[in-house]
Amino acid sequence: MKMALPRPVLKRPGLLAWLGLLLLLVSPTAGAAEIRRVVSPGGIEAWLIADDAVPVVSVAFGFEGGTALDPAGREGLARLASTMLDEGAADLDSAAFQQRLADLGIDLGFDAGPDDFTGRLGMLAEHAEAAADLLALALTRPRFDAEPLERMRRQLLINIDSAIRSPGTVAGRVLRRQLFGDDPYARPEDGFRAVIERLGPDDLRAFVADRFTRDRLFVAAAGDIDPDRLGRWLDRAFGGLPEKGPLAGLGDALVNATGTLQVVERDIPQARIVFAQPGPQRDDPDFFAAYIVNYVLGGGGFSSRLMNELREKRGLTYGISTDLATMERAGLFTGGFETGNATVAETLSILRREWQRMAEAGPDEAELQAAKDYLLGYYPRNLTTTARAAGTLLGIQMAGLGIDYIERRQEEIAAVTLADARRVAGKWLDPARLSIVVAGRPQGLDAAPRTDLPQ
Amino acid sequence: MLAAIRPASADLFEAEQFTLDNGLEVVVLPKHLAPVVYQMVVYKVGAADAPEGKNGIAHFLEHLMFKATDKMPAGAFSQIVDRLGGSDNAYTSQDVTAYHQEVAREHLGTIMAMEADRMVNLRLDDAVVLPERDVILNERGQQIDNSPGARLGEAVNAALYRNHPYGKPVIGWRHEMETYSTADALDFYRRWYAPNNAVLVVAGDVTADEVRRLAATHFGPLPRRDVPDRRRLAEPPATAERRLALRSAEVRYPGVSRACLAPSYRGAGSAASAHALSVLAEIMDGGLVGRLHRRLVVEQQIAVAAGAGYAGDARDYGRFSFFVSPQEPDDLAAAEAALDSEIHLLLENGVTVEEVAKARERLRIASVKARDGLAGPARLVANALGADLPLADLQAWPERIAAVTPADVMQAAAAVLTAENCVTAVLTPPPEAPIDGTEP
Repeated sequence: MKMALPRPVLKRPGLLAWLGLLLLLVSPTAGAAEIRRVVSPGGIEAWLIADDAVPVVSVAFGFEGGTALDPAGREGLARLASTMLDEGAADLDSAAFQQRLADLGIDLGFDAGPDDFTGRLGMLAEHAEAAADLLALALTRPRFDAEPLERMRRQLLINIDSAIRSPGTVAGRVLRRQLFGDDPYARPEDGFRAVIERLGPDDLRAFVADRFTRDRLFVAAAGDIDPDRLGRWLDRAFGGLPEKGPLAGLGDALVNATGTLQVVERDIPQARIVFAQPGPQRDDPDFFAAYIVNYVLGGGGFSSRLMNELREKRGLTYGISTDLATMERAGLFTGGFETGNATVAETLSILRREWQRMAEAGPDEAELQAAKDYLLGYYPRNLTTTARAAGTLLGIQMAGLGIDYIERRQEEIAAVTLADARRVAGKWLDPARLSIVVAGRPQGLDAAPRTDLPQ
Repeated sequence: MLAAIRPASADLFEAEQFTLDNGLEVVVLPKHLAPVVYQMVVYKVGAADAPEGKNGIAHFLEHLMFKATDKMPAGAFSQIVDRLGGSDNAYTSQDVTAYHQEVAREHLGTIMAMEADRMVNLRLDDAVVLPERDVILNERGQQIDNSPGARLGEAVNAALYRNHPYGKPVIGWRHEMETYSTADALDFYRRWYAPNNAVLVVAGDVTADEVRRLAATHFGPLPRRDVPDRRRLAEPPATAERRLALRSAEVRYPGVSRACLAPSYRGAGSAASAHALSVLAEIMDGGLVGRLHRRLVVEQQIAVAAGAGYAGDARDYGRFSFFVSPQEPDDLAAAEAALDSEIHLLLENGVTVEEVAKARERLRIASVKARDGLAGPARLVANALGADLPLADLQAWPERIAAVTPADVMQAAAAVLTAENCVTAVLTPPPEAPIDGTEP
């Protein structure tokens, strides 16, 4: 498919009039990236953007199911596995495997998110097949030797200890606990100390057998590789995986919609604040309208209402941002910022006021248009490096959005009306449903309950 | 910004370079993966060029450049880039102040017009300057005062540089930041911001001819102005080993770092080649296959992390650095001793031909990968030219790396890794704070 670039409609001709004549000096290119569907001889599908300008290839791949699928009592297993796959496979021990990656300058990494287990691979085109062989070994014949396992376990335990010392991380964990209760989404993704201390090679082998199957696999590639070579490459990298696995998915998570304000006491000169309330999921018909509402409220960087009120007008913070976070099983409006302990109460009251104002009246016409222009125009910037392009294509696939998504997305955003945005803002946003956690020594919040993570 | 960004081959970037009549240097890096362009305007002025008592003024001015000009109201620059679906931001280092935007290719003329406008037409008054001063004070709070590692980093710089302005923080000391005035910012702007003290870098889906035409239209009419030479004080010879310590309850995990004064690419003399130091850093660090990780983390299991790095992209001085974090918090001294022992072994026994060959190959591969994308290659070029390192030196980087011998590496190591040349910094939690934060 060809990716059509939208032409933003500039709503403030006064401001831009003096620039207006210059807009057409560079014409839109006709040669935008083409996304191809490649199916290997062995039946493995991948999406590809081929470009031979730089002799590098990036591959992104993912298996459905992430940390939330870790069984009770095994919290942290996916995260531990993500650190162990490049620590030796088949007859290559950890040092030999790492030396081979380093000698060829191959970047290989794995990550366990709440809903997926992903990997990324970057290499010179001349080393693509060697990289496929190493990846195949990592996915099908990892060794899980004692030395690297203990080393990774220690690293994970340090991460867990560090997280407990970081006020911002603790605030985020308290917020997730408030929102998700007993759901796996409330867990720290690195798991619990006591669990990480006892996980062993058998747990990791069971993880690999259950999770790495072709029915859960998605692949995307970008860079200096043609479709035929990529087809052979796919079989070389993934052909050895079993066809199907035993795991079922989880049902939707319940999000606690009762707004609360909690304080985590910490002696720091600036307070860290995180907040969230329920939002639509990715497959909700309200999604793009909600996305636009979030952009106007706090997602739009220096253009957002919250940034304008808190930073530009009052200098209360270095920055504030909000996000419409769509996980597989829940959606959230969420955000965070820092401010001095003396100004927490003032800042929170402005935050709630802006939240209410958006719920009552939604964006105005100019804000809607500005948000649409941005959201339409920024998308090609997800394709500026081969790694970003591969990652973007993988994300589209794993969200089930289809190979025509980049075009369709533009049409759906363009179709959102002011009435849609107002309706969706009123339906979803509610300061009374906002859960807020402050880490610090905030002044003027004496009535708010104090809380902390269990020791 | 003394980040360890390695110059890669600008040759391989197929860079095209030209200079306008008013002295503006232009570099074009054509890249056609996505229909997007990345523009940078970098000024050859940074924190180290500030007057006494106003050390962070370059960074403050960077913030103020997003305010009003004669043609545009405050904040309009970012709003317009947003309207175009782009992103924009800026950064300040000791040597450069850089502004950058990324937009769909058809909007290059628009962002170029706006950069040209604010190069000469900035308008400031107390109503916009004073609230922005609160913003940078908050920024300092968030990035330095709230971070024990950053506070210790400031102290390391102050100890490493006893005479040169790199010893002062880019963002400024709080007590000085509180005194910045509108006049301070405007004085600095008028002194340093001119086409003949700037470099325009454009990377992306564009040709050199298109950029040449647009640059002539937008920047061409701006007048050349006299700009002072950058004269900075030199460091005296190092005479004493220095050691710093910071204890804080906010420290997540203890660690020791060591920073050694080294030449930069631009400032390198005959004794220590910057390219040899790059190869040395790759041998000692090398991600997971370097000496320090292999010996301290994997074999001796005394450390959870250990590494080294060389940052040579600053104008006047570089630094060679080490760090180690112990496995057990109580073993900090033992971990440091293990690091010392590796440095000692290096200086005693040298490096092997094979180590040097593999490090050079890894650096070659990294220099090819560095060509992927827009912002990465553009920043390499902008930071180099902004710090007065000629493009030709960037272009020669891969061949100079390929020519490094084991003897070059050892000559550089011996010159740089002396006790008197380095500052050791120890970061620890207070003794009473237990490390375990046991969870159910």
